[in-house]
Amino acid sequence: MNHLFSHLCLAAVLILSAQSSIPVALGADEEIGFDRDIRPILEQHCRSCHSAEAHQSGLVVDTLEALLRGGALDGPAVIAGNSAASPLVSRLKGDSKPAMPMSGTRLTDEEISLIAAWIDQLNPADVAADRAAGGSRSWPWTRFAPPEVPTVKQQQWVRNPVDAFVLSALEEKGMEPASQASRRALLRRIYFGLIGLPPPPKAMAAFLEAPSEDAYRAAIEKLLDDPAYGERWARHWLDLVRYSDTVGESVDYPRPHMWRYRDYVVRAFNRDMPYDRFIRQQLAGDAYRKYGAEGKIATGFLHQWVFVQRVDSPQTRRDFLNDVVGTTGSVFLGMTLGCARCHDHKYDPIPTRDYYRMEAFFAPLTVGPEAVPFIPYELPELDPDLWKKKAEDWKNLLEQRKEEAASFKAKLAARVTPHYQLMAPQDLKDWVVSDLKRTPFPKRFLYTKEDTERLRLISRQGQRFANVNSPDYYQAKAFVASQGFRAHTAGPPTTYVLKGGNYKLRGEAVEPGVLSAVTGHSRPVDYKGLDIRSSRGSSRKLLAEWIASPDNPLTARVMVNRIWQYHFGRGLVSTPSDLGKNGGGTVHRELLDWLAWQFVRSGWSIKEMHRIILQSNVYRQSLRTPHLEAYRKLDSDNRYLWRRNPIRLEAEIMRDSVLAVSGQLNPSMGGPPFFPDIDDAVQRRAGVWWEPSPREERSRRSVYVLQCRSLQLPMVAVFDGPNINESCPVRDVTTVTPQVFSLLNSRFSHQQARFMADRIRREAGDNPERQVEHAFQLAFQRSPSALERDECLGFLREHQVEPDLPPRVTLRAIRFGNDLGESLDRQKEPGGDRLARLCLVLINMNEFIFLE
Amino acid sequence: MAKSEFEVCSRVERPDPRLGEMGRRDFLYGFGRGVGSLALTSLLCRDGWLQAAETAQDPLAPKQPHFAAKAKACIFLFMEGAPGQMDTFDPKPALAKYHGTPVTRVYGSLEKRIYVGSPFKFARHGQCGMEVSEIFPHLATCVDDIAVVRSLHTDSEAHPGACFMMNTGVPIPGSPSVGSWVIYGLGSESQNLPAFVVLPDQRGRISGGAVNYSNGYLPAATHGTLLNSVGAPIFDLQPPPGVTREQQQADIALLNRLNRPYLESDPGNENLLARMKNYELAFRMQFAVPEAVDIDSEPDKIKEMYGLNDQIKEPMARRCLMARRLVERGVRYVQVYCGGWDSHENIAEEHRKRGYETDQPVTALLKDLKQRGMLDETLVVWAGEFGRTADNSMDFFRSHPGRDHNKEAMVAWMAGGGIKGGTVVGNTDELGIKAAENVYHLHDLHGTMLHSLGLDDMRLTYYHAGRFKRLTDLGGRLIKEIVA
Repeated sequence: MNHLFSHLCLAAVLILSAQSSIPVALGADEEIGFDRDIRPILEQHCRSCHSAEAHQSGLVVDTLEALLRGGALDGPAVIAGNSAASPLVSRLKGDSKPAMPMSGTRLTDEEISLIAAWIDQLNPADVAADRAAGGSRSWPWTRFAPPEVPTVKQQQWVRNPVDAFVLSALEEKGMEPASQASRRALLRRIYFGLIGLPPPPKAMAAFLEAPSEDAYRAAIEKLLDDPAYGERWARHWLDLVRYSDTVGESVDYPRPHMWRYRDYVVRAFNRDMPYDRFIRQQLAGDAYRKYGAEGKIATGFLHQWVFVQRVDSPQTRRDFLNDVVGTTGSVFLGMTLGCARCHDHKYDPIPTRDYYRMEAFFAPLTVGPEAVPFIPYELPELDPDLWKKKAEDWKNLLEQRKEEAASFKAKLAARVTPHYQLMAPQDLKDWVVSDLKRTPFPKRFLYTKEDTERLRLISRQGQRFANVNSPDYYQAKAFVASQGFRAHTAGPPTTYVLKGGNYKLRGEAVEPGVLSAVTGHSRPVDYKGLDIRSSRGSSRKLLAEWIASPDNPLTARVMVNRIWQYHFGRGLVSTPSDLGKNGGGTVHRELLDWLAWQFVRSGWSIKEMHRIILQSNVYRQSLRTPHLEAYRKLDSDNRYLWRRNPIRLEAEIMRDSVLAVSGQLNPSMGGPPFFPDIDDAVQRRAGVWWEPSPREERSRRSVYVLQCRSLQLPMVAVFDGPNINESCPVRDVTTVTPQVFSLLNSRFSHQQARFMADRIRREAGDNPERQVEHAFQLAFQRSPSALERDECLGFLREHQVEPDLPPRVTLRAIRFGNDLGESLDRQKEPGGDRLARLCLVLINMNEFIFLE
Repeated sequence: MAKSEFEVCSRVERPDPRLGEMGRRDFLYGFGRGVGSLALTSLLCRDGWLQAAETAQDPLAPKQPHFAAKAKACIFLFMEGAPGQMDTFDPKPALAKYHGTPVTRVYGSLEKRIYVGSPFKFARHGQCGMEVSEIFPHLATCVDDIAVVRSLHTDSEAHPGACFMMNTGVPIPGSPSVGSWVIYGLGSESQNLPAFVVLPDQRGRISGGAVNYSNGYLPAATHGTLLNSVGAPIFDLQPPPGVTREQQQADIALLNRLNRPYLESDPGNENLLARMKNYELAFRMQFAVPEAVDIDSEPDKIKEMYGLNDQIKEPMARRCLMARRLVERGVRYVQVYCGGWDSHENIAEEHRKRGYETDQPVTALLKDLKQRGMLDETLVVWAGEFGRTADNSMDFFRSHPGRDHNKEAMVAWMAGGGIKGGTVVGNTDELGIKAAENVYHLHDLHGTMLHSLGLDDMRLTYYHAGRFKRLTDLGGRLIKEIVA
């Protein structure tokens, strides 16, 4: 056994070093998977002759079943558990002739040993049983029943069934869970997890003073009731639906009304809308009379596709359908449905025909603008005064800009008369002599650099297209309900199975139907008396009903796995939009099923899932365990959950946290997005332009920042923000140098560091010791250690007195008023303020952006 | 206090000679090339963290190619807007005969159109006798170094889609660009400079925007970095005015000291060390980048060679010279843009202008690489996003004829990096409308580029959305005729 392990490890390591193309590190105890590890090798080397279509000498290498069946010459190509006797290996090694592959490059020794190791690992009994069952439906396609909660040895560790499932798996592996994290770490964990903001120092102090279980529960309840909870969790959902305020592509047209969908998502989370209703509304809210206008706003989900200009318009339609079908499959069903568009799914039981049967639900759908009245929960109805003020402000700003532009142009015109354009006496003479009466110099020679800049600014402010907050466009559509959400056409066109996904190669016509792997048949869906040809969105309604049904085996599993992922940094299945055979799989199927069952039983309550998960001991584990080294060797990815995984905060949460500790965070919710302050040069290169919102607006939470497909907020982009063009189920965590520029050099960081320093002076006075104490309390909700205190005091003491430089007046500040928070309102240059520099260092610290 | 942090603890670090004076000065401060700075090294050394710091994952650590590579780096000259094949490298005498003849065909919709002969003369050049348009008189002197592929075709006929296609192999946005694939496969040779650099045409933007140099689903470290050839090279590269270098150095030193205790509370998290290293790297990059793009330091002879003294050629000359300097300093993939090729109207004048702007700089780049012995190790590719039609709409023809978009035929050339110079591959039909002989798809061009860099397009895969994805989708064919 040991021998096998080292063999596997060796093979895995060799493969990884030889071939950078396999991204999944094989842990020591991980099984070699046919689909993940073996099939790509066979596909590359053998498939040109041994595919299901070619099958030279009867051998097909596409599936395990086909390999066990084998070919005409050797019989079975694979003998389970015995690589030495398997013809596949001897042919590849060249031990039996002819050696394979007959043409092309030989497999590397590492590849052959990996295949051999895989064969040795197959258990003949299991293989035989699987074959006998004839590929019967397997997890996650089967319906979930509540699994029995296992009994464990350390029963005292179990707070709720979640713990029992995890502990039982750990005990089986001979591992033990990590101890509980400190209460400080716990409070930070639930704050960031639920509302995405650091706890205020006072809340931390109160929590530490009352070390009871009730205090922990109360804290969870308080945060679930906090409106910031909806903002935090809406961002997760917006990642999945590729939410954007613009359409994407080259001419990145604004969609100034899309904020209504974003606000809908925030509301849905805050109100703990049952998840099944959330699904129905987003897929077919227009088809349910009972959902009214809110249902229509929810169909914003269907509007998120990326428009790409195509010369052949049928292809544009294909782009739309491919996008909406693929996204529906991955977001709600956790299946890579899109794979089946061109060929039968290679890993999961989804034939191409099923893909087009699913597509047929969307066949009548086109999206476009349609008036949807504001509903009582939307900002205009909720706070009409504020809303009126916003619209009024916008109008005034436009007026003001117009006036400014007019007066500036008049001023220029007055200065640049033909007389002044004559620069030298000779010019004047020439001009008088000539009959031309034309100005000898173009006007622009008389403009200063600032004049030219200002003229460019004026022209951009009025620009219609590249300007995302273009005056007429934005005013016309962001503030009125007339631009809403339509999703409808009458008379659905027939859907055909397309060969290779090519719309020119039509095959069989299909009727709407759901996945045959779930229903066991591929008959058309039961129309239930609905006339799908006339009734609004009815066909989508049938699909929504099926997806949101408690009987659907995928829906609840997918969602609870996502909730788990957002709390633990990694889902029970690490590929949350792919629960299929080729996804990451899970060692905790029973736990996932139990949670899914609880989820449905609770009335699809997401908040209830938070309560269950957050109260478990599994969630409360520490990062630290004495067994770190040993357990890493056994389970490098911590799939068994023997400790807490460290989490790096997402870019948006980092930004919000900086605003929170600097005291600048503007908590106002909802409404049109704010326009961030982005460097002019960067905007110009991206081909879009907007005028930054006033600073107060820009200090709102990041969920309200303009989501522009052609220009993502640079800080979000460098810290692994979502790819706005497609559904993003997991944020990467990479460490790259531009992140340093963004957090250490940017105008945003420096401004906020100064605000934080001001706040500290205001709240803690001038005593450096108290300043340092308060800075640590704000940033990390703890006192500095003696060492840290000394370092910081030393830092503050050095060059304590530095010369104040005169404030710089920049063109940017003039342009947009003084609200950019630049040096105009400051007496000191950033380098001169030592406390501000200390604050800058604190927000750059690992402790600030990693969650314990 | 601060000084002592910079003492060498165990390794002697050597400054990078290519950094010149700037590098040596940095070395004194302890920011030479190497793993982290001496400040960080000494800090970690004391705590026994050094080994961990060195093994901390670097997503861009140099990797072995799949097979012996001809090229180490690639410069892609993107002629955005798409030059017409029959006006550059694919002479069509027959088309001249049809000039002014009406034709009715579907272009978007069925319309009456008119054939347009090329306004440019072609002549044979070099030992190979390659035919080149008169708009490239300089390039004509080094045709024996370049290989022209006349029989390419692509999948999209709209600018953004075709740019995505050329840059990412997929006509819709969201996939990794070629440069990202290359540095994902090979890693970075330079520690102080970004590995994948884009030099945009300052006159406009790339059609489709940042998606063209995005990492798509590959790790974020493989994202392309825009370098301005005018003004600040990278966004936020420098701190705001008023922050001095010494101050920033003190800030980073404090940051490193304050970060140290946290290593204990989150054991085994490689990202913590990687981040600490990154602050040092970033600090070095602040000097390395301006140095790399400082073309004023080049001798006058070289500046003249690229055409920097000609106001019209200057922008492209600047970008080409920057490209050479970057590749010289270990940058793996440089993309140089020159827009303005979209001549629906007045091709005679517009293409001639583009030729004038680009010809001397591009030729100088080839010759300069060659005289430095770098051409063998540098693949140079020249292409637009698609080809152009043989005919034009009536409206434009009446005034100044031009050509519209055509995805069925396009031309590209490659040089260096094991490409057989003086070769012409494939052919279009009589009028240059459609690739006809030895037809190659854009995936084949991508596959051949990867091949030159030592990468097998079938093996360069990344698992995403349920399957292993590739730049060339189901695989590209090697353009064998041009591979030496």
